[in-house]
Amino acid sequence: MSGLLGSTRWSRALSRPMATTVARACVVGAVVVAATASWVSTSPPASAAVDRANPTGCVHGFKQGTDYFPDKAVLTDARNFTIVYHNNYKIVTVKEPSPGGAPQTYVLVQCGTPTPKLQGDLAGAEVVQVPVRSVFAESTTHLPAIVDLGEVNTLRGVGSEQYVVSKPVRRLFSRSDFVEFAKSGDIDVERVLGAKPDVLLTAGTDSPAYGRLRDSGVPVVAIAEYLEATPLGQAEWGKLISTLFNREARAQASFATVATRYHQLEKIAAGVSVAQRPKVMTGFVNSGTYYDKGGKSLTARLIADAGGTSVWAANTVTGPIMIDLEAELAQAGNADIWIDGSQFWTSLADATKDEPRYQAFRPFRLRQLWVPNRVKNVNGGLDYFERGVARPDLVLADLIKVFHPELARDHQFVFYVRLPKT
Amino acid sequence: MTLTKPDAITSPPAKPAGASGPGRRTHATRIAAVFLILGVVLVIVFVLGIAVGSVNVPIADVVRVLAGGERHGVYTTIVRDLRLPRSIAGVLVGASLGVAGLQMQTLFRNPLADPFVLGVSSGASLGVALVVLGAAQSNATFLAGLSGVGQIGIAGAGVLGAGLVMGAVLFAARRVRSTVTILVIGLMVSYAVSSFVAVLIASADGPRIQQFLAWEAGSFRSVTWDQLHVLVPVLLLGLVLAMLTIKQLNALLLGERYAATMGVEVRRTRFITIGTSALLAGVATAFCGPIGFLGIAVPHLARAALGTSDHRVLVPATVLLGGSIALAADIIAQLPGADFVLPLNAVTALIGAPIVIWVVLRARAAGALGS
Repeated sequence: MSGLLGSTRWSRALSRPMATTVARACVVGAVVVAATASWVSTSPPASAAVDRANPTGCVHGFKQGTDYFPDKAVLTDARNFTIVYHNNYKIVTVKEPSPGGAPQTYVLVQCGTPTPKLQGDLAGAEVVQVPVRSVFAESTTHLPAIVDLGEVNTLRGVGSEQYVVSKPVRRLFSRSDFVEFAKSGDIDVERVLGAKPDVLLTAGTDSPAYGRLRDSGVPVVAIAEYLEATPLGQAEWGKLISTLFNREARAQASFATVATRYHQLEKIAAGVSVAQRPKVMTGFVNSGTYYDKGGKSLTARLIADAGGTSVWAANTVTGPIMIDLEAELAQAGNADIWIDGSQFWTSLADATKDEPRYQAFRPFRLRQLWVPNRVKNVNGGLDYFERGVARPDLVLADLIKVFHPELARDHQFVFYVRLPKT
Repeated sequence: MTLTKPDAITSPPAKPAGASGPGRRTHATRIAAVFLILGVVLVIVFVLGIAVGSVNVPIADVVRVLAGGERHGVYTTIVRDLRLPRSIAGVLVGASLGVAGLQMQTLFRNPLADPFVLGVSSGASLGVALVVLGAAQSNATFLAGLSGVGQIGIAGAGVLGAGLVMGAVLFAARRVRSTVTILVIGLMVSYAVSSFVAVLIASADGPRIQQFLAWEAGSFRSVTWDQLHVLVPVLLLGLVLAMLTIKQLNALLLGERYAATMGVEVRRTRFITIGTSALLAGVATAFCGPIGFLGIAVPHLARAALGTSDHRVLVPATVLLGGSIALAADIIAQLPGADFVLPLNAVTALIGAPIVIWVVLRARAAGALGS
């Protein structure tokens, strides 16, 4: 199997950064970008302005009939939002902004051009002037997208600074006008209003604070990427964020690179025969209740795409499942590999201190317990939770290396660590 | 909390020890029957606790594991390391919370008193919260060493927190003459300590809050053999202490002043009773979470079943009944075949509350007819 891949192809497929030279207006399935020498491994994304035809600021002298957005985002994987382009505005609709929430529509109007009449389908829609120049991001999952778009300097506030890993973002914290607006978990409406950002991005849950902010003229845009059914669907929310900055070209290119790598890796893992697919369990126990992932969850999907079989593959739940420890033991006691144990473990001894009966699980005895806490900040915030959403290709590469090390010899782990004994 | 005093609690034992005649014999028969039933029920529930679970383990395999015939394998772990400790913990904790509740109801002459009125459960919660949630505070470096202490560390912190609150209340109990004042002090300590937990929750992150909430939902399933080495002796000690104060508790039913005339040292009794109750409830909570309802309901059920407030029979009946109900609730919490677990606290209250209302109303009606 090791001959399946040339090492160069692997190192390319798995190297981290985004495309640097990119085609401008990308169309559906524009995955051409990724094929060969277009990505250089360590340099940061290309500087702003060179890669977009969309306006970088307000326009003057509105001309009827002009297409102000030649760069358009085209969706391939995301199911929870849509983008429709008009000459001087874009309509973004988030179908489920929070679990069970009613759809929300945002009208993103090019600054310096007239706002369309908000009637019919647009009645009650929220208007955002684009490109935005100041952003509040509630979830750390928004940060990699904003950084990759070259817009980190527009970031004026985050929900909580504690778990932010991104260095360019952490550098902003020392600025006197930088705002931490949901330190206790609840949004501090006064702080947000005091800074009056051009837009606030939600963490995909609902809060009474959003209504008050909208009433006070701060547009609130829901980012509910975690409700997507697929890892690439999640990653594609970078395109929604890009529409706020008129940065679609870059988002298209970045996503195309990620998607191409993901599909390449998926194809490699698809070659693994059923007999060679490890049985994979996830999760940990809290006070006697075991938390694993349902058979239709994103994690189960990643496991399958990486050439493994989730122990709960037959289960139909899309999110986490809470079960009895004995039920997990019956289902997963003879598994081969255990991923996503508690993020707080750094050794097998940590795990048994929490629950000595973990030793009854075969992956534990085989020392095949993997946790994605390789990169963390001083407060224990994990890069996996931040960048893993935007980079499912890296997560998949890690998992392939966990499940089938011989298929990924040249890949360096990005997120996952195999827990040592002590 | 209301301070009404229904006769069920404050009246002296319905049938004084010196009573004679046919009435006494019927009553003795009834008590014997009740104890027989409670004993049989406890045995059945305990057997179910080992035989029934979300995984269908054939009875033959259960027996083989218990006989030591099988040393490895999933069934061995399930029966020997999961169900057996869970069942022992369930019975002991249920008995302890029941007895602790009975002691508080008698001491404060209040039917709504439970083992947690004096704040021991809040104290345990604070101890656990400091370990589980406090470690998340980046600036609280003095707590950083507490993270990763594991399950025993969490239970230890719970015991310590409960112990500190218990110490404060006992200190008050020695100084203060009025029992009601102690109750008020206990409640206030409880509120103050709980608010500190709320502050910790407000500034903690998701996974840690989840861990804390899981502890708060209550469970016997997290108890391991290692923990039982601590839990069993301590709770047995508490139960024995409770048995030793039965005579004094009976006297207290007649009022503190009357008890004093009977030669009961009220303050000492109060001290021992509060100490025992706090020990039982605090340790049970530290290991299994704040399991509500049992402490308040089991004594009422026992009184209704026996038709008496005599602690000589009430305490052992509460032990048997508390053990059965607690373990039965935990068996129901994990419905066989279901892919999910209900919080134990939800089961005890949702299923138990209607039963208690029914029993109490029925006992009242019967009492009214009888008198």
